[in-house]
Amino acid sequence: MPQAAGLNTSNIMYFHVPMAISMEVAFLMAAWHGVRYLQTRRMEHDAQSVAFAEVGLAFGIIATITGAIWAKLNWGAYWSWDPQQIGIVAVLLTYFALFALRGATEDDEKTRSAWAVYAIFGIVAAIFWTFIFRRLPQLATLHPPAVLIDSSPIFKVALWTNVAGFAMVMIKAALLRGRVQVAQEKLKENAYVD
Amino acid sequence: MSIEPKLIPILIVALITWGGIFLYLLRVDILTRKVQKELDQRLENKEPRA
Repeated sequence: MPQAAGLNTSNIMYFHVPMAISMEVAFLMAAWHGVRYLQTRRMEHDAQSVAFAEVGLAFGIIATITGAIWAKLNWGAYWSWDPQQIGIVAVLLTYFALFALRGATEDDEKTRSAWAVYAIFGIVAAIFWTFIFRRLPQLATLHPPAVLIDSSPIFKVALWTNVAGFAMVMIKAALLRGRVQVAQEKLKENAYVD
Repeated sequence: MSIEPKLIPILIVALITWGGIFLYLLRVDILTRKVQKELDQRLENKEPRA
């Protein structure tokens, strides 16, 4: 882990890495609920898929900001278009676009089916942009390659504990958001009944 | 108590992280209030059962 002179910059990893990992897990869960929606056509899966994607996006934004602060201290600039930075911007833009597409359609059934496909496309894009893109032989990244695997045991224990903790916060936030989404959808469906 | 300058970056990062999570949860809370309000309005408009 590179260290800037006189600064405990590796401590930033306790926040930045869990945010980034939680983002990936959230997008994976969004895709999984998308697949479950296509299988079952249950509105709850659509709601949960949207919720996980939304929380993933929020965590991704935090990961990007904290990563930029780390980059300023270690690389000398907040933003230098490193392949990893390009990758995270592409992921965030992809999900912003997917939410815009969802918001642009009126029909609920079609919207939900399309969203399920978007969520599956989203995780494929996220895996490419965050794990594969920076490893392309033509590109050289300054981003540390495997902090979660190659660090010292004490650092790894603390880091993995934080990853687990923030992932749990992410899951709970997404479950709450999903429940609200279900309640909203049910109110909308019954808007003209009674 | 004074904050050591070398701790400032990690403090900023911690504040951004937890502040960001707090703001997101606040958004969920606002959405929940909207649902609750809508539900309250419907219950008010509904005739009591005989």
